[in-house]
Amino acid sequence: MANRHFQIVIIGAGPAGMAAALTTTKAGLETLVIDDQKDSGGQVYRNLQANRETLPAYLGKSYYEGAELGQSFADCGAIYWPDCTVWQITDTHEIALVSRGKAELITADYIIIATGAIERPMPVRGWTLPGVMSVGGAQTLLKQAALGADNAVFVGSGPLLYLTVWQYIKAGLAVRAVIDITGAEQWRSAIPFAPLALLQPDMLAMGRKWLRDIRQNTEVIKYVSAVEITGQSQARGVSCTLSSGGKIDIDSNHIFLHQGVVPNVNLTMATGLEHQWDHQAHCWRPVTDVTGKSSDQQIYIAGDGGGIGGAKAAAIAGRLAASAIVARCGKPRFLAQLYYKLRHLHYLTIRPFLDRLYLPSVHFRLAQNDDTIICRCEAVSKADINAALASGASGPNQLKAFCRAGMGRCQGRSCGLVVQEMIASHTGQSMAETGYYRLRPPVKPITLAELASLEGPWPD
Amino acid sequence: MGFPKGGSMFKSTMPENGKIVQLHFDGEAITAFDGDNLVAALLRAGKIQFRTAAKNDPRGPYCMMGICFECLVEIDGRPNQQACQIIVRDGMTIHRQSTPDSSSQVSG
Amino acid sequence: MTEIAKSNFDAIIAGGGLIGLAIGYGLSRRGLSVLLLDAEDTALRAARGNFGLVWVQGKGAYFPPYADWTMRSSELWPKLAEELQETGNPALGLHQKGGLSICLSEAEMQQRYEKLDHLRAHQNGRFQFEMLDRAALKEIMPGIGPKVVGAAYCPHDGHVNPLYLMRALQTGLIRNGGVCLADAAVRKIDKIGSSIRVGTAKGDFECQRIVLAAGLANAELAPMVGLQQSLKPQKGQIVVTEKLDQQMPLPTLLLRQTDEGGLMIGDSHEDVGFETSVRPDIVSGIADRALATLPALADVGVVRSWAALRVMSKDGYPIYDQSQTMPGAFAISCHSGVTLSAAHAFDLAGYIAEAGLGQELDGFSQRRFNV
Repeated sequence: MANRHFQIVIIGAGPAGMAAALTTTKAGLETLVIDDQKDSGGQVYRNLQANRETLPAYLGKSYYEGAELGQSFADCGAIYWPDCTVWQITDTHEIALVSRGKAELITADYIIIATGAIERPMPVRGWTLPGVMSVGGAQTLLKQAALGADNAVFVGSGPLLYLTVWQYIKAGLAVRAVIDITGAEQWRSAIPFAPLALLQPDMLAMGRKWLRDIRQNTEVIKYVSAVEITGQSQARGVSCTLSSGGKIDIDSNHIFLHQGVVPNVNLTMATGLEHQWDHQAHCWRPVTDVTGKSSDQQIYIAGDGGGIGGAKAAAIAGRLAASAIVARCGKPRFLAQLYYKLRHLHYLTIRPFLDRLYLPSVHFRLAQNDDTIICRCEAVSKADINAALASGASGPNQLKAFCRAGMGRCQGRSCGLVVQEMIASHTGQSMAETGYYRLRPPVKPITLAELASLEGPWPD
Repeated sequence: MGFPKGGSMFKSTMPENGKIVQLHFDGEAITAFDGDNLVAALLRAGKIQFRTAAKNDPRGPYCMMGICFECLVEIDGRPNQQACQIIVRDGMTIHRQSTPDSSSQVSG
Repeated sequence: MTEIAKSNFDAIIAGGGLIGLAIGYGLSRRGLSVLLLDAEDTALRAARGNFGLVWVQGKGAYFPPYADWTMRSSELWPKLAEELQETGNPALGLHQKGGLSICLSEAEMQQRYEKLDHLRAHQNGRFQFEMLDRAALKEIMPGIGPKVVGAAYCPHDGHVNPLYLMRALQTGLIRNGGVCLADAAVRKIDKIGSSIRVGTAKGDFECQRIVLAAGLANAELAPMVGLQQSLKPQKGQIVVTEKLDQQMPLPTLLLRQTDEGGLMIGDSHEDVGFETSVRPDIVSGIADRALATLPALADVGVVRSWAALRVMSKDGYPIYDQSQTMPGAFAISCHSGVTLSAAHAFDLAGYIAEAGLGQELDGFSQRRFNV
């Protein structure tokens, strides 16, 4: 049944995947890197190779720090298949992929999943209107196409939001306002972990610089208890309710939302790997040992897909997983592994502080209006979900059956965490006890023709 | 060009250069640059609505990384293409789509 | 929880799938107090893997009681749908305008004809069907591919949304005063005085009747009430596509379009034990056959797939049994939970509520295997 075989298959060509490939190729292991984008770099280093020619300065120093990694990856001798989507990994380690209309099954001795993170959904009324994008989406437009929106409003919290606003300002765009939802609740919970964060002074300094430049260049609105986006056929503005009771209305056609990043667990969950609820980061993550080995002995997870740590931590995690594999292939690198473990730990010292500071409060994690769409793909509203709960749905999968939330193309990436929290809140169970949608392949849609291209006549 | 009301619009933050290509969006001619991401080309032209998920449910691009499936358009006759994953080609014909994408069955 | 534990239910149902829900609903609408005990959200759950056919053609061709029972349920379905619509839930999407079984070879046509002809013979005119050649089929489905030889058309066939059916049955059960408990799989059943005591992780409950409708788990539970049910899992895989404009005039055995627009495409019959992973080679074969049937579907995207385990008895027919040693205990299993929902909700619930399984269901006892 299976076709080509590779010693190592790395899924994802972001910092984790690229760094892992450097280690495995250096050890002489046959390495294939698959990525669904057309160029390497993942999201954080999106379009980096092209931007090195025009060098838009506004993208900032940490973006260009990825250039060396990208160049080394291009030169390392790994087989690289861009524009290629993995839609399943079977329990016998067959990797089902599709590229340019043709599906194929390949096999590997070891698999490194480095598929990164996605943004935590931010279900506010009007968030599906044209003109509303995620902050990550706005930043990608800046990286990919040197395109930005004048007079946009940024809503939410978290390093990605502050960085993007900073990049917008440096690019000469007029930012209409930043509505920062970080509040006293977040500070109280994060402050005890500030000493750990001090172990990464450059990260903190960078953050402070962004926040200072933002304050000096645009209106920052804080202490809001609710936000909604107005407009009928497109976004027309933002209306925020202040904790003090007042209201502020801002006109704008471009609203960018962000309230943190979470591991993209769709491939790892559909593969049947064990996951745990990360209470501190309020999200799911695959269960792994310190090198990234999952509950499956042949599959490793590296980078933000295993737990949010940022680009540098992701690269180290890629190195760490790769060297664990290299060791199992008969070339132990004890010192290198120890070094990677320590560096990884070091990068993660800032997480307890950041995770708490930028965890949005429950009224932003959940929708505040009954008509707010929760499942975007199937247009299922908060009221619809509550009706399904009233019908007796007691878990995410029964709820999915009752009202279609989670049945769309995105397989819960935009709604899963919100639905889970709505159910937990209704039943009184913890987030861990409530569980999540049971994810199945295809992890991304694949056409019938592509599926049929995999095998011959119908088996009896 | 169809600038949206309210004064905010997408614009280039670097000097625009590169070979010009022609696209068609719902019958309207749109200029883009060779190698452009399709979402970027459409946003630059002021097009922010790409489809309707149902009556009165207009949608446009959201995540730019291929995981939200909002930016679906019909390209050269093929529906449900994620525009954020597509590079433009000269002569590309794009249509907004209104395939039955929402669960109109669900009661309030 | 103590309140529930104190009351003595007229009936406890073990299993919240289509069998349990239909029977539970049926009992509750007759005024019985019902407690439905369901396992975890992520348990095996054959019902959630269901295709949604309300199918008559072929059923019981070699076992007349099943043919009778299926036909009866099909005739009762509109009544069930009408009643359930009053719960205010999303429309069930019941369509009973007929169905097709597409044949890709002359051999398939012949096999199909023989089976349906045999069925027609013992149904005394009640069962109708027609073999359509390619030309006749093309009038109904213009898009059929060149490999399609014909189809068997049966006017009694139909389809429905099985998930909305579950939701409506559950809402109806709760409205009629029934109680549903999740994460409460049955672990122990014994007699206590004149009642039956049922033990679960969420406590013990008492009742006058216990109905085992726990799918494959019935094999473990049946001995607790002095019964036996030999059941084996049979795996089936299904894919679902993105939504399309309505284009299928009738459901077919392996390909149907839901009211929302997505196409459900099956299937497989695999004997692989308790294994529910989706296999790329199997779904590829499913896609292959779908494209042989309707080539224009080539570029349609598959957005979901799943595998579920059919609850199969030795001969594939339902098992309806009541215990001799524990009066009031019943064990029910079948793999056509959707089609038989109406018969279960009306007739079967009536038997369970009153005197017991009647003569009509005698042939369905597990005893038929002890020959």
